[in-house]
Amino acid sequence: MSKQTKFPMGIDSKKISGELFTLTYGALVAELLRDLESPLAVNRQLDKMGYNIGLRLADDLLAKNSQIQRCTDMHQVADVLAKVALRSYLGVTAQVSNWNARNDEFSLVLESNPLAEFVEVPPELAQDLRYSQILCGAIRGALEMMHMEVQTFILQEHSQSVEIRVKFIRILEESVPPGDD
Amino acid sequence: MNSLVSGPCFPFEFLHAEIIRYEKQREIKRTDKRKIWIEQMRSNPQMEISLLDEQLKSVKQLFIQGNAETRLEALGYRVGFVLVEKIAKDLPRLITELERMKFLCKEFWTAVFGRQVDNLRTNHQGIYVVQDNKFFILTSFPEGKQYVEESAIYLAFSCGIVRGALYNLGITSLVTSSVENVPAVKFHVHMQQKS
Repeated sequence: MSKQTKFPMGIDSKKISGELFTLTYGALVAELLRDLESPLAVNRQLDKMGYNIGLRLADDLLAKNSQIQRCTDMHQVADVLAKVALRSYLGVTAQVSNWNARNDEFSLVLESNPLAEFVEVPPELAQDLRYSQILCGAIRGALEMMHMEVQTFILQEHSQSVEIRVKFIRILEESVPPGDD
Repeated sequence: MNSLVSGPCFPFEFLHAEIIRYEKQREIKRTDKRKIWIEQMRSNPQMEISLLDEQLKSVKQLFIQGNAETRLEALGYRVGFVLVEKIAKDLPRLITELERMKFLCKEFWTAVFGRQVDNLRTNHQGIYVVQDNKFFILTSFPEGKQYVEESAIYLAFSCGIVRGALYNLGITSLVTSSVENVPAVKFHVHMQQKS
């Protein structure tokens, strides 16, 4: 789907592939809202799906971006997420802000959220539904593949922008299988 | 390949795979619940009137909602219906059925599925077969006959995209798919009425 094809009337194949993704996500969220008993259950399902996607995207991202080096602190992680990962898969960059004193917690702010294009969340759902929750799961899954446990959640979500909070928990050690020394 | 130069690669295939996983798991749960419900009915044939509403709700949930492929196709329909408007909005009006099918096979297929179809055949009586020899969803599968059966559920969403697009072009249709060798796919389009 990444081929850039020129064809009549200026149809933008790249733009359409983004819209295919956005519309598919929207159809999924609408379906989950019908299937599951509450917006909170929808959030959990979106997060789980995002986590599974994130596990696979981490490999894909590293394969395509040889310039990404091993990150030695959370500032580097934040930079890669904001400037490389989100750019690669959603076509937008994020601002990194609101670091805490220990430098292990930060916000990613997307001023234009491509998932939420064409979307209007009804007022009765806006309180509980986190429309872009799949992004939180994807970040958590991708960083887990990098041996990092993090907590992610949506701090604020408006019609076009979203702020995702990322909090470092711990480094995941390689576990030795039982019986090996 | 530097992604900053070529533009973003939206992870549609990963999202699509997760949706399929969700629908499959949901169908398994529903099948199990249906068995339990039937056993309960057998062991308790005297239904109290007050429980009828609850039972009707169960029947609706367990028996009437479609299976995984049907639900995937319905999701794809919604997506195709909207996408075709975006793709066709600056084009001249498409008058004949054949013009609409050609638009589907060229402009629409390239924009949404990444390449033109390889072949379009028709019996001129409302049946079209669209062949794509490297259908994008299946290009990550191993080639050949090994996964022909498993590939069916991976095409349901795309069948829905095609049906939704055609509906918004004024054509009511039934769209099914068949695979003989991965990744070549035939989409069978049956027009429901002359437009």
